[in-house]
Parts: sequence; C-alpha cells; structure tokens
Amino acid sequence: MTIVVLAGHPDSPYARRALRAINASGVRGVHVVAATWKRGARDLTGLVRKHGLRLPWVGAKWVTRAMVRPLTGIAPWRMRMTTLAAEVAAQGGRFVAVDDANDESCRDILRRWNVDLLVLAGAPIMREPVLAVPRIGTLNAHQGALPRFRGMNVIEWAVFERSAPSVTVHFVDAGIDTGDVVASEVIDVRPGDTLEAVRARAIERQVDLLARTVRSACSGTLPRIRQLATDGRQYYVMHQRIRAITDRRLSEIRARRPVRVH
Amino acid sequence: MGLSAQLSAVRSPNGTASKRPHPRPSRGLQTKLRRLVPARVLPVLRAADTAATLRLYRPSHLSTWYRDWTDSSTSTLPGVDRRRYVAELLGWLKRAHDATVGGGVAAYYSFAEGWSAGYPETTGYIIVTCLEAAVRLGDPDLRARARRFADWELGVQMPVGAWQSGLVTATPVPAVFNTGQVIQGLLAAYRAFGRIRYLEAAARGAHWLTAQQDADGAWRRHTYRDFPNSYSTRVAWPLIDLAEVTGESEFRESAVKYLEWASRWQDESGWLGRCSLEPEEPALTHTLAYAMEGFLESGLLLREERWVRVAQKTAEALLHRYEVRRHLAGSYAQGWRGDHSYACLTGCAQVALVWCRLSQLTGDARYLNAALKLNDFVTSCIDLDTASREIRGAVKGSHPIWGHYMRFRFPSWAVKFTVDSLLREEDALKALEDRP
Repeated sequence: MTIVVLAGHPDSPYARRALRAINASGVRGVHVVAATWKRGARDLTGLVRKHGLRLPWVGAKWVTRAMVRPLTGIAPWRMRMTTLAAEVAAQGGRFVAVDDANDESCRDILRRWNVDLLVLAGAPIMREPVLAVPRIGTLNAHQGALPRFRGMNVIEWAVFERSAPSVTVHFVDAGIDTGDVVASEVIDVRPGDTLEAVRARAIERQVDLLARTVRSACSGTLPRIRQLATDGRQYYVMHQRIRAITDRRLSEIRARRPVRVH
Repeated sequence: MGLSAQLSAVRSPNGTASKRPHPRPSRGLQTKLRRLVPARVLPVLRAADTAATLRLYRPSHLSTWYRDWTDSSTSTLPGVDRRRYVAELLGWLKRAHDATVGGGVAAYYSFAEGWSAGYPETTGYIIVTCLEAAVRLGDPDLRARARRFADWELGVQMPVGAWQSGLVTATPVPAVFNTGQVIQGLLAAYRAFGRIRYLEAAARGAHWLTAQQDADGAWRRHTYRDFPNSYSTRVAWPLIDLAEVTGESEFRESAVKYLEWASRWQDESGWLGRCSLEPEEPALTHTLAYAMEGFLESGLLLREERWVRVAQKTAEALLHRYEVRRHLAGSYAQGWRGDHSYACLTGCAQVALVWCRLSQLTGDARYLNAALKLNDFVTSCIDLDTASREIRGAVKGSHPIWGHYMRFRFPSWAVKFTVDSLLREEDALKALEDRP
C-alpha cells in the first residue's frame, strides 16, 4: 500500500510528528510530498513597498546572514536537506518538494507513485483534482468534533461554546471539513490547563489518532460516517478578545469537570 | 499605482460617481509643455502636478500617502483603547462641524479641496451618533451640537418637505435617500429634546417620501440617476420608526411595500441585486451594508423575522468571504466577485456594525469575532499620532487612500459609522460575556 504524507512545507514539525507516529504504529516506507516556502516580494519596488524606510536595515540583516552562514557551516535553505527529508529517507520513503500542493506537478507525482492513501499534515486546502488521485482517499486530522465544529481554532471555539474539545480524523472532500468521519476522540481538560496546553494535547492526540487510522487502513477498510454539509458551523480564526472570554470559560470547565489522573 | 492614476477619478459626497474637473490651472500649462519637453519628462511633470493638486507638500498628506503606499498602516495596538479611538473620532466630527461656515457637518476633508461644505444627508444621521455618544461619554458638547445639527436641518428643508441631494451649497434637488437619513436624525432629536418642530419636519419629509413611491413599492424618482436601488431599506427603517411615534400607518405601509420590493432582489447566495449606485456597477460594501442595516432594523421594529433573515443571509455571505480572504473587498459584483484592490472603510465599519447587532440578536459569537477583526482593521487605518487637525481621528474613504471610493478624502459618514460600530462592539462583547 502506498501512503503519502502531504506536508505544509519542507521542514514542517507537524509532518515530522505525523510521520514518526505512523512509523511507530508499524507502518514504514511512507513517502512525503512537501509544498515549498512561498517567496516574498521579488523586485525593488515590491521590497520598498513592503519594508518602507526599514529596507536598508532589513537588507543589512540579509547580507550579514548570507555572510555568516558559510562560516557556521549552514548552507542556504534551498541546498540543505531538511530534517523531515532525512527522516523520510531513514524509514525507507521518498521525499519530494513541489511549488504548490494543488498544482499539476504534485498530481503527477502522486499518479506516478500510484498513491492509495494521502495523509494531510499541515497542507493547504486541497482542490478536487489532487483529491481524486488517491485510490482510498485523503485523510486529515481535525482539531474539533465534526460536524459541529468545522474550520479554524475549533479547540478554542469548543471551549467557548462550553463543549468538550475533541479531535476527528476524516476523509477530505471538496468542502471545508465536510468529508466522512472516520474516528474521533475527546480531549481531557486538566487542572491548571491553559488553552495552549489543551491545544498541545490535541495535537498529540490527533497525530496518534491519525497514525492508528492509517494502520487500520492498511489492515482493512475504514468506517465512514457521513456528515451533511448543512450540519454544524464553520468557525474562523478567533479574535484575542473572544479568546480572553474563552480563557475564563476554560477555568469554568475545569471547575466542573471531574479530573482524570494519568 | 502612479499618482496620476490615483487621482484619475473621484467620488462625490454620497459616493456617487462624478468626474471632477481638475481644480488646478496647470493643465493648460502641461499642454504647452508637452510640445516643448521630451516625452520622458512628461510623467514626471504629471506626477509633480498631481502631487501639487493633492497638496502632498503638506507633511500630513505626504505621510498618509506614504503609509498607504508602503502599506505600513499599523495594526491596532493592543494598548490603544477603543475608547481613545471613539474620543478621537468624535473630536474629528466636532472639527468637521466647526469647519463649515453655514452649519451642519462637513461632508469630508479632501487632500485637494480641504474641508467641504455641510452635507444635510449625513448631518442627519450623525445626530443619532452624537446623541448616543453624548449619553455614553457624558459629553454635553455633543448633545448641544446634535441640537444645532437638527436646527440646521430644519433650516435647509426644501419647501416640498424633502431634503436635497449633495452638499448644501449645490442647487437643491430633492432626494429620497437623503430625506430618509435626515428623518432619522430629526426623530432622534425629537426623542432627546422633545421639540415638536423636529417631528413635524420629519413627518413632512415622510409625506413627501410616500408621495414619490411607485405602486410596486420602489422609489424611482428622485433617486441617484433615477435608478431604483435596493439600499433604500435605510429609508424604510426611519419611516417605520416615525410611524411608531406619529401613529401614521401610511408610513409603515409605504416602508413595508418597499421592503417587499427590495427583498425580491436577493438571491440564494445572499447577493442583493440593485444595491449599487448605478446600473451595471458593482455594489459598494457601503451600500450593501446600508441595505442590510435597513432590513435588520426594520425587521426588529416590525417584529418580523423575515426581514431580519434577509439581512442575515447577506451578512453571512459577507462574513464567509471576509474570513476566508481576511479582507473585505471595496465592492462586489454579482456572484460575489470582489474588487480587492481597495477596502471601503465606511462599508467595513457598517458591516462590522451589522455583525455586532446580529451577534447580540442571535448569540452567535462568530459575527462579533469577525466584527472585532474588521474594526481592528478600520482603526489600524486611523492616524492618532499626527498633529494635523484634519487627519487625526479621521477615517479615509478607501484604504489605500487612492482606492475607488472617496479617493483622497476623509468622509464624515465613515467616522460616524466607525463610532457606531465601536460602541455597538462594546455592547455585543458585554452581552457575550454575560451570556450564561
């Protein structure tokens, strides 16, 4: 079975964690396709407009960095092999960087490799042509209970709505978090937790759940629980003032919920 | 964008399109020079001429232009209290009032022309803002000014009962939309000061409005370019409010007839047709927000959920587009094709205001979340540090300042809606915190 992890960028820590978890579950030989970093302003006008009067200072920093790098033995990022790439090679997979995860070159690679299962790890919103390539489908781990909490910052939104924070692994379709649900898990909230702590635990759990789902896919078929596009709500990046209210609500949840000792 | 292109077209006070003749006499000089100087020098001359027209030799103008050109508008600093913004915005409104000779609030401050004359339409709805802010901030000066605005409106009312379009210095031509906004202001003044003259003037205006309405509910006469638009829901709203006070059911019936007509232009995606200033033009977020606000407030006054739902549908569509793109386009064409080359700051403030109201009504925090972000953006475009009395606390028509709407101008209604939005944001946050 050919499994490919689609990473958000060539040094994605999240993709590294996902890869390690998949390897730890007994699945090896996983390939990785990574989208490359976006470049900023290209011409002088663009640079002036971007940095304004700070441009000489920014330019001086670039020059200094370019001079210091060879001295310290660190090659420019284009040249160096990222940690992710090294880890992929170590477990027997192939690593390829593409300009854009949704472009033709990415589709070509996936077709050439006869991909069975594509796993998203920090990748951007995927378009249908890429999603159509993998035989089984594309999996994604989402930090929220689907279908109720779709979109961004849903751990925070779940706390805000006084609901249990959860993670869900689901198949990806053309919508935002609207694909069939495969598995989900509730995240514990412990005494002294901050939103960052809950979020960090959610990442741990989602990586673990994703790895277990990949392993299940290798050994048989995955359950698919259909969700309707009209179910639930789509949430967006939370503003800091709503976040402040959420922080206060988190302490209320902690006060009410029985604590589980690990 | 070059300076000449930035000044190529300007908008009249209510956002309506008009080609303004170049105010400086150097055009003729340019024509003569064109024959004498090499072609390569001409763009430099044009840029210099435009810079002179925009008075970029003024440090405050130059720094505003430069900030936008480098896109270095500071994001709202967490340390800067919203109350400071409200105070500075109201301070600018006071200066816009003091700058006019005949009374009323100046329509705008322009790089090229300086302060404009008084503008009956927006002075009307600025009364509402001043009265609310006076109560909240405990500022008696704002209350006194609101009264002077209302008295000024009585003085500029046309014999037919309507209020004119455009600046008070223009040849008076009655206008439906403008009359509606003044009625709203007079109604607020009547409630605050209890003077029957305000109510009588408002009722005269309302009678004129109902007389102009066509049988199908639309207003076709005395609208901009005689184009029956769907954003006059913001005329229906004060009519309903006036009907509550005067007991004249004719006003309510007229407003409902219009709401029925305007709601027909909404499609499944929430897009509202005929919401532009002219046919075939995209709808400014400013006019879309007018329409939403009109539907929403009319629905609340009438206690009819269907009108609230019309507003909510368009508001949801805008919310999704704003959150995905993290930018609200200056205008949208049919099918929600946005022009993201600029942001209409008035429209941004108004949309945020509608989202705050919807958050209060529905308890859905996503509206307030988006409104907070949009208000952050609008406030980030306000300069609180400049020493310029004309620019400190002012809100640009567009961001960047050479955007399509109110190019190189700071309209008074942008300030009004930003104050309204920030005050409403405070209410919505409080309601959210108090929610069990």
